[in-house]
Amino acid sequence: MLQRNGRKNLMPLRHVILVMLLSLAGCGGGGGSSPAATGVIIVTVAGTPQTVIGPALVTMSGSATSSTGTITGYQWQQTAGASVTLSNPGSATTSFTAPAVTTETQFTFRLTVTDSAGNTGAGAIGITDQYLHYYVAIGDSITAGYGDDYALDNTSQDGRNTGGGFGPVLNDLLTAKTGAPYTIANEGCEGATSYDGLNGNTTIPCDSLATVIGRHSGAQRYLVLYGMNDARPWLPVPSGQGLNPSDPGYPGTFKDNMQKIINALHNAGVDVALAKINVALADCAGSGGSTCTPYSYPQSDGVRNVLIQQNNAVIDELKNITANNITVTPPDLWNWSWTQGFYQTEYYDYIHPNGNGYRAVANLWSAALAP
Amino acid sequence: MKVTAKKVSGLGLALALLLGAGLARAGDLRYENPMLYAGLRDQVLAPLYQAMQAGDLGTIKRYLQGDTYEQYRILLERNKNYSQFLKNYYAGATFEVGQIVTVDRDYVADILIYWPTGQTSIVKLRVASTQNAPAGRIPSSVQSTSSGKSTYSVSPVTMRRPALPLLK
Repeated sequence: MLQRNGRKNLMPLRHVILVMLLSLAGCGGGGGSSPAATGVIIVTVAGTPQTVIGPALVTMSGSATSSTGTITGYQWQQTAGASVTLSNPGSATTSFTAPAVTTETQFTFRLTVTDSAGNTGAGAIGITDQYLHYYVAIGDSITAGYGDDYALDNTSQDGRNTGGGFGPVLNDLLTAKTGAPYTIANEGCEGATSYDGLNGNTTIPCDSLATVIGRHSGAQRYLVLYGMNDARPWLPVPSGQGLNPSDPGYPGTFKDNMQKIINALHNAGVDVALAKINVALADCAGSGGSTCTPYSYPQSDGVRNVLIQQNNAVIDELKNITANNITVTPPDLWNWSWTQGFYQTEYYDYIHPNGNGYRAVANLWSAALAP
Repeated sequence: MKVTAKKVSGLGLALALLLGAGLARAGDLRYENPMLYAGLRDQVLAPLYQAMQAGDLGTIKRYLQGDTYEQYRILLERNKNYSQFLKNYYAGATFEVGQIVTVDRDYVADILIYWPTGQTSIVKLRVASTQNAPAGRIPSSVQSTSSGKSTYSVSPVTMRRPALPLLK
């Protein structure tokens, strides 16, 4: 399955690991017109067990040798797992499509072989169909990975996620922690506000959330990080902190947009995890030829940070709304960047993490998603 | 011999400064087209920022078009507190137009905002003619079109991903 930007999402047959190898020698009882069976059949099934991520085509093959006759028949049958259709079950090689599953599922099959002397032998194989944790990260340039200056971790170990930022690292962290496969699709848009994330913006460009949802129909959870650009000092977006939908100052606020994002994701049947925004050290990223001076006291004097802190309070408010059903504690990028002071060593510029910073952000997400 | 060396190094320094100044000014309308620069500053950007500071949503609407207007449509049309929010936000701030450069047929301007706290923000804005005026035309005034829009629209410039080193 290929995703946007040519990212390879699923490589189901790449991780082929044998589950079981069973050779059985059987002696036929000589029923019917079969000649007296006295020999032994050795059956080998497909070398190694297989682990796949459905939907995926699985091919199984068997071979057999008989001590007394020639092999005359093969018969595959399923012995465990949700029923699947086997192609050519009467031949040495068969295949089936492992379905997408919601929990790790075992499929087992038995191959029975007969020879011209009436002997029978059997082998079995197990196929593990893994549940892929399919997450989509939406947000601005920090989700997109702007400023990631360390390229060696830009591809996840399973090859599913590429491009830098926190996604590939988060994939590796979650897989190592849980033993299950993950993919973190990156749908970050540089310069996007919460409004852009919801409705799209042809100038940036940034697709609407509806388009993104359509592009990732199998995703189970969205990782959402907006608010840095809502707080920029050109026509800033009010946070909406403390407001409710019926309040006159609510429409169009960061809180309004984020609630709409949550609602849209819930309507699509996916889970939502929110993150808090990191500190801005100045308001001049990309200012070109003009002189830029960072804030002397970012937390108190940085006008953008006043709104960022309000937006972070809004994240808490949205998390605490029972109907939003947000179970993941929001990773706190403000705490990492400002309170713990990592802006000093893990920033690329006045706003964005560097390579080490994105690893830190991945760790924050990992701790929140798989505590 | 010493004197000669001093003269040479002095000349080199002067040449470097001249070259540096020339590079810094390349494309900057302040130096290349002062009349156009003044027109954009006084007729487009200053009125917009005065409107933002005054919470004058009607005037702000005239400068926003397309996606930029849509982005703010709910705030400008339905949020009853947005005018007061802007007044509070920009209270005591002063604005200055920095360099303006031509990009394609549009202009990209640096706006410096000086806050009462002593901090400075720099915002990059794209100024585009909404009537396909020839590039370089000096805006005589911010005239309204029949739709009530300004003849110039303004939108923020989005940063683009820079080329990054492969390794630290």
